Amino acid sequence: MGRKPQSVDHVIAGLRAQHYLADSALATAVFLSIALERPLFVEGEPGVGKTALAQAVAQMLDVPLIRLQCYEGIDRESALYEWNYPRQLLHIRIRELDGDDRDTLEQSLYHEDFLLKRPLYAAIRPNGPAPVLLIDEIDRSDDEFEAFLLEVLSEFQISIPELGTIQAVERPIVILTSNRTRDVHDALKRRCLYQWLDYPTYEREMAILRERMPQLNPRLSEHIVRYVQCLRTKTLQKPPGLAETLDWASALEVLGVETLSAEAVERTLGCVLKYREDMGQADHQAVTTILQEIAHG
Amino acid sequence: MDEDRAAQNLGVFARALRKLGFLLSVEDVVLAARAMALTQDFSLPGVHAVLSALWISSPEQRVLFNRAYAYFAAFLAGITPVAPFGDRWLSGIGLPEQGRTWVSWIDASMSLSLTMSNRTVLTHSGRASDEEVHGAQSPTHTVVDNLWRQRLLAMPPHVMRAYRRRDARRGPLWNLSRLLRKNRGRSEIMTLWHQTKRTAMRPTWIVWDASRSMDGFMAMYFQFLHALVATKNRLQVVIFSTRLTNVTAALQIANQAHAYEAVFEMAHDLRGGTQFAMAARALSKILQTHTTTRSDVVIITDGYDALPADGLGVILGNIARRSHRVVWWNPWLGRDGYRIATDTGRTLAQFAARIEPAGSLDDCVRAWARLT
Repeated sequence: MGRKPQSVDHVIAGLRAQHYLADSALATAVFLSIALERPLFVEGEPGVGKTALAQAVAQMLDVPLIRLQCYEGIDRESALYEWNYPRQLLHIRIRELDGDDRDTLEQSLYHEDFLLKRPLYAAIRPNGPAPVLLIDEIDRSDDEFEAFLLEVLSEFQISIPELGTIQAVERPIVILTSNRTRDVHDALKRRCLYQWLDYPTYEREMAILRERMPQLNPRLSEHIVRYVQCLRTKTLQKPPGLAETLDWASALEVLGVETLSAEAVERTLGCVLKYREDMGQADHQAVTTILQEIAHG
Repeated sequence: MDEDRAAQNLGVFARALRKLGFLLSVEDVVLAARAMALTQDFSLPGVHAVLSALWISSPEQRVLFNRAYAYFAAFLAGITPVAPFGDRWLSGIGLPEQGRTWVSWIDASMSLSLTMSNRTVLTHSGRASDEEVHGAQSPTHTVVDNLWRQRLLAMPPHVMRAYRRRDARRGPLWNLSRLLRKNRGRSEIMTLWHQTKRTAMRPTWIVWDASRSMDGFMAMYFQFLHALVATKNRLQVVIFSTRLTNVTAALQIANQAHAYEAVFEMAHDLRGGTQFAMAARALSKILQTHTTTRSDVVIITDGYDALPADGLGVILGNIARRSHRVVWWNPWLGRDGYRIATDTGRTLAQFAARIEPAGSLDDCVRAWARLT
């Protein structure tokens, strides 16, 4: 691993250099996760920066990021390894032409070269430094997969019947994320450090927007953040997250908008609201009302 | 920093948190001490950041932890630890006084779990509002009938068709020359696996109305769902009257009395007025981020609602779209003179793929069997 942070302040500064603004609680969790070699379990609403955290940590440490996207039905093979049968078959054909005997041929088939390395394997046996392993949206996977992860995350070793047990030389930094659509089992949580990411406050969101898009008109930034903060107080199917704020700011910048007008909002609201029902609530009058609220502070 | 005193304080705080329901072992305390030695930040926010990263495992615990930490910090600073800041939530964290009326809901039937009663009271007082704490919350007695339990445990699994990739070693025999010829013709890399049909458990969400109008059915549904969760079906059970609470974890506790108590601990709004639209909205939000197009949603309710069904159609439409189907289990259906009269009931009937009578354990078992 590259440069291991020596203190929480180093983590804050390191993440800031990657344009990720972490508060002291989150930075402490990241620091402890690295120092204690324990996985970090991050929960929160979609779009609050859970995945971005893993990316920022990988960039901060200058190590690769390996991502395992969980989904319903994900199994051991998709996460760990598979034998590359076509390659094994071709190998057999070539060796047969060379006139190799059967035993030698069979032994040569089960070698690491013939493995298709899936994310968990690649994280445990990396080619370079220990990577950051992002296990994204663990709540989407099944209970069986969760139980399997339990084994991998506690020992950082895997058993391949044909090759034996493979142990991580250096433990990867593991970040698990969840949108909390279901509760992850306590046994898995107990092996992790826990962090809940909330929607950012006004000040924090402003700071993040300025950090990410310093070229944006400050007044426009302020209006965008106020508008989004105001939307989060409404009853929406999906309140906009931080990612939506950044998308919206980019869209307004591309369109050359200088001031947030009702027309500009209506044209670009699709960047912030993702449901027809939510869009239905944002008619001309509602948009104007929010803009007036913003104008009056 | 006096390390002995710091360790002692950590131990005291961990014991206090255990009383609030946190599952903390000695190992957790040792790990916290190690983490604090690493961060070298012994300020109140610094210690808070370390302990919250290590000892919290849910947003609900975070709220409780923050309150307890504030209380603990005040205690260390020598501030009188009685209801600091006039906070009604915090006031519940101290030991309950003897003879307080609000412990009365732990009745004789729960005597076997009296050791947990302290935790029950404290967890309630830490999270519920004043009104709820003082409200008469007495759980309906559960009748543990072993014969019924055996029958419930033998319920068929709720399955669906699925596919699985099986590797070439275990499938039917490959005709190698034919395969090579076929793949050369397609100029593609051959795929040496078989796709086999199999059955998989269908993910099912059970939305259980536990409002006052469903009071008479509460014990029966508890027994049914407790057994159902034990059958290893892929279930999530959420309970609602005024808000939605996922009680699957509580129902997974094998001991029926303990599971019953745990449900009461988790859901603070039992026997409240029904707010079906709000609960449906919350459920819709949960489902929207989850791949549940193959999930069944079973709604157990009588359809009586304290609020008008404004916008309920849109929400139920969303739920129906995101799931395989919505099924309504109605405890009153099939009884003499019963008809669906409320707006909520009529809207629900519009979006439900099927309405099943579920007024008894027999009905529930039959309705479950018909799901598959």
